[in-house]
Amino acid sequence: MKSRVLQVKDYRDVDVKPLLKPFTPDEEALETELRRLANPYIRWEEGEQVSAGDQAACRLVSDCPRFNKEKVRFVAGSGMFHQELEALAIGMKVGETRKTVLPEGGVALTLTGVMNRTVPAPSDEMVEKLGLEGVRTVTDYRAYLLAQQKEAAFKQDSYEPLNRLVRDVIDGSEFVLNREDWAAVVNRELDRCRALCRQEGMVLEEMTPEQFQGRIPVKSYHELVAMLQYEGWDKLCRYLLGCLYAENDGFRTGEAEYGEFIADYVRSWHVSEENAREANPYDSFLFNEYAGHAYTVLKEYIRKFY
Amino acid sequence: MAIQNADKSNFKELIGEDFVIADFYGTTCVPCKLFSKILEDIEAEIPFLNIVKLNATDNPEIAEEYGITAVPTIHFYKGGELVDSHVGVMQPQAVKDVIARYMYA
Repeated sequence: MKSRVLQVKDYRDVDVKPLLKPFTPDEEALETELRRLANPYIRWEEGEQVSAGDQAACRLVSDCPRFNKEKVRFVAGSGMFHQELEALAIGMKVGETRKTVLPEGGVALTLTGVMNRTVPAPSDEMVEKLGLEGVRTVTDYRAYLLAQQKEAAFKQDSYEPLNRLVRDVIDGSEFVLNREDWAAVVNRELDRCRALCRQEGMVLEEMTPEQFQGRIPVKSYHELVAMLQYEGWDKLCRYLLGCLYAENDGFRTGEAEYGEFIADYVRSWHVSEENAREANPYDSFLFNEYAGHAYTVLKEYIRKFY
Repeated sequence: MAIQNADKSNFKELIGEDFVIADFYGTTCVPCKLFSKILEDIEAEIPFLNIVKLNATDNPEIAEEYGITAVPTIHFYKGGELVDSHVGVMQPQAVKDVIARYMYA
């Protein structure tokens, strides 16, 4: 490749803090996750009286066929059987009968059995059984969940700042960009698209707007070429930056990683290895990995301020 | 009734129960994991509900037979007949609404 970086803008000179949204924990989601700890330990025991959340077994007698049943089982207060009848059952004892009048007619409900629900409080033992490395107590688990929330929020919130930082670094750097290298970037991507379409029984150059829909965000082959040509310069810059960063931080990728990528692609897309390799040639893989490495380096830089 | 993991050998049999929620999920699908937790919450609330999970990644022939093109897809069966379906994560209340509509019908 004849293209090269003449001078690179140091990304550490870019103040990314104003670009980042502050992280706000979702306390409700945290509490929900903590409650889930107890799900496998919920006990159902035969009881005498119905409380909300208990399983009630009943006999219903009514002129309305819908409510004339020898045996019905529902969870009191869940609203999934019938709100009024569930409310009627709450507080009843086994053997007791209560009557009510619904719009559909009168109903007599006799409680024939009850299973009381007992939900234990989240405990360190429950956390221990999750087998998470370094997570032993409920406090640890809360911190672990919070870290997961933060990571998910970062993934979502870092998109714009990352693009801004990439833009700043590319615009602030000096490149020698060779026209043939750029054409190679565009043609390599076109070849990939062509192979993917061929595998689906289509000819890329003849595809209709309907065929592009949901596959590639363009309406015609010419739009696709224009899009790839437009993106080609930046992608070439990212590749050159990625190679430069790799020289400094030791990032390397090659045949072994390509083999893993293809295996993963085959699993994810249910295609043959031959098709996976045709759609993702080794040189495309290498180019994309090094271009992606520029993103990785800059994303990790942003993370320090999140 | 616990949540049951099905495969091609028993899926048809398991969805033939009175009322069944079938969750078609993918091995690496993140939304599927979220929906799986929602189903576990519902199962903790209504333990006598029939919930069947089918890994569409490992059982592509069953997924194809049942017209699954994306995961998660949730099918609701009553007496073996498909009565409702949804593609994508369903919120807990939406699942409960479908249960309320069909389980005691």
